[in-house]
Amino acid sequence: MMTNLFSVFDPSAIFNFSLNWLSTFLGLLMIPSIYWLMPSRYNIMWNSILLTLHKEFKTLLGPSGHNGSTFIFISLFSLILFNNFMGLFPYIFTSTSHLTLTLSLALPLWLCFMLYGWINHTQHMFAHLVPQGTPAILMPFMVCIETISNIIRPGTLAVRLTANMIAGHLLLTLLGNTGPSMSYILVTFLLMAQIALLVLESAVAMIQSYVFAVLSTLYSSEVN
Amino acid sequence: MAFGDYPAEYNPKVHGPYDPARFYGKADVPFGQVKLGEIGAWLGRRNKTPNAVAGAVSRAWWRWQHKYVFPKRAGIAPFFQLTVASMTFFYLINYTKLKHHRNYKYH
Repeated sequence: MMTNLFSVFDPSAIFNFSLNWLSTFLGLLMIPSIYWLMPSRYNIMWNSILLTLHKEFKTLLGPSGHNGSTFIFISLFSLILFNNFMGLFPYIFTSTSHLTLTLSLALPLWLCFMLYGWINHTQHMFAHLVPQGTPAILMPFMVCIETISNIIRPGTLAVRLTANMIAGHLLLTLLGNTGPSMSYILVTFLLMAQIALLVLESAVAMIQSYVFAVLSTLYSSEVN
Repeated sequence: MAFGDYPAEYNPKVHGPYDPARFYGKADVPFGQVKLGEIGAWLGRRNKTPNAVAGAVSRAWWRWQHKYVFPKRAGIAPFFQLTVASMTFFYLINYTKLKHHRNYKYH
């Protein structure tokens, strides 16, 4: 098999089974479970993350949000975060760098919001096609633009995440592959650059999972 | 033995409260005390049915969690243990692809 720049994104593993997708579920092993009454540091950290997200998403959902509807977005966030972050470690496959995964998260979510909104709040959905304060002459164009922007939402949501993950990994592999043909002095600089990039990519991993969750929260708050 | 049941060998009257970390089957020589020449025979005696393997993994996971994850002052170690284990796992299942990377310089 020919290896190339994109082989880090190849899900096929031994015997050509797509076993690399197993890394999607690594997060399940990472979620700290509770055994003792006194919480461990992991429990405290995990709980404070979840609580912060809960508060954040609750304000985004607004007063019309149903109780507990933040949970799905928190789960979405943690799934994507674990995938993004674990994917930065050597040899671990990054499922979120594939549209197959991100689109299967974004598309059903968006489709549910659309079905729910258009069936239950038709008037409200139509009203959303013309933003407040639009001059009368622009209204027909705004309807076109808003319709398009609404339809491409699952695509943009999925592509934003996937493109970010691919870009980061490509940058790291491209830079890393120049190492063998470098002098030792240059390799020191390369190492420092790679560490800096890795820190940057860790930030991107967290930010992108947050962006995905926040945007889907906002999309859901728009339909009711 | 159905899903979620206690192991068939577990008897509350003999063993007391159930301990998920403990193996209730017939005790064999501990692995650490097996002579090098007896390793083959020792491995041959292992029960390798999917049920037994799942049980062994489950007990090991339970013990690992109690040792590293559940303590109040648990550190960062379990995270890196899991990460290194995952890295090793994915390295091994991708080895047939990765071994070609040594030919990069000829590309």
